[in-house]
Amino acid sequence: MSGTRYPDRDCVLRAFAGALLGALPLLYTMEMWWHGRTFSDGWILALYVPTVGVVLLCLLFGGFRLGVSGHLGIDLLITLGIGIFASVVTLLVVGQIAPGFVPLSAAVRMVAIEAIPCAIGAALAVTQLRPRQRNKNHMDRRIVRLPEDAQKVLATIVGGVFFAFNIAPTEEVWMMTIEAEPYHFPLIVLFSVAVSYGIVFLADFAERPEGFDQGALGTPLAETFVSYLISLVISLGFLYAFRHVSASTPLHAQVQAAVMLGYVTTIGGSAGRVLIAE
Amino acid sequence: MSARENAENPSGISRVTAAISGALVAALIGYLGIHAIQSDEPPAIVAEAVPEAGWTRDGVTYLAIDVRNEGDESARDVQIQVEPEGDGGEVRRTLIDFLAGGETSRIYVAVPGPVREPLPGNDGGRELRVLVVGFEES
Repeated sequence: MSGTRYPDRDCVLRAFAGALLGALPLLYTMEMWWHGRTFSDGWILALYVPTVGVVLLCLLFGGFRLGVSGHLGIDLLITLGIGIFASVVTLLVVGQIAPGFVPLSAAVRMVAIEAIPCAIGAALAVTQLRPRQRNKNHMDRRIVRLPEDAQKVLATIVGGVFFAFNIAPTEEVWMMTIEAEPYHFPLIVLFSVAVSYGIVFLADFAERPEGFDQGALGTPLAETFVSYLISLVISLGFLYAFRHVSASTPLHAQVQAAVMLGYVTTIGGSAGRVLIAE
Repeated sequence: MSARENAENPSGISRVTAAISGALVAALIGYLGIHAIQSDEPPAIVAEAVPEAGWTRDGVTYLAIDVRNEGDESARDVQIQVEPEGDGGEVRRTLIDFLAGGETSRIYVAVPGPVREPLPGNDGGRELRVLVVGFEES
């Protein structure tokens, strides 16, 4: 049976597949279940505010439909709903939520927190699962209508969030930060910047689109350094969101943890900028 | 064929999916919102022995203890201690990683020899006390 006969059904299934592929590691991550059980309802609700923004960005970046779609509101609802559905089904099937196993309130919080990466994965379904048609016109990448600088910034945010989400909830980030020696951090900064530069400008993954050498981020160094700073801000946001740090954490420790997670985030941001150039 | 001609614009299935999704999102946000307003009781940890769930084998008594968080907020690193009444005897401590509000976790403490309290009506063996030592705010 040809998938193109039922495009409307296929795009919904594609979003579900994107949700699972993007978030499966997190659905199997113990710390995510713990966060669901221990975070307050209000905190998880607050996490949904940036989530809606990120999911919208992801829909502008790739989405789950082929071709041009002008129904961002419907797509946002579908993405969030599929995220919740993928989260509920997986947690039920693997036995992490069940009557008598965890209270209903904790189960709802577990579903809610796991639904966030699922929704992001669903919103990036086309980017994750490249369709057979290689014609770029089939990609609904509304982000390309923005100025080049804005495209680079948004692609960095989308890629950075997608990558960082797989690491940020775990205890390892903070543990590695504590265990690292002070001299490790400048090395991590240098290596992160070098890797980011190499991925985008040396590895020859994609031709840079016309106009990408213009604007404030027109030079490779400006793009690399600004994207790295954005990655650090995203990393710090994740560290606060998952309560690895708080306002009472010493500033140097916050910066060190952001640098540690920033290595992951900046690689994700670089991947995002490569994909936007495709 | 242009991208617009080939576009997968929302039709029947998408609209139904969007409606169901909207209901799911509203239910989730609504539940979390209502729960956030209604529940603010701090953790209240209660530990009780469950005699009928314990057993003895090879001279070791496996004492079942239900640890329940009767508050709304979660507690982490909940420490439970089982100690003999009076002087002497070994103190047993165990740790529960997380206990969400309303959650009950059953733990088993291995105690050498027969025990009496908290097994009411059992006259043989030692008398034990089950204590909640403390927990960390989550």
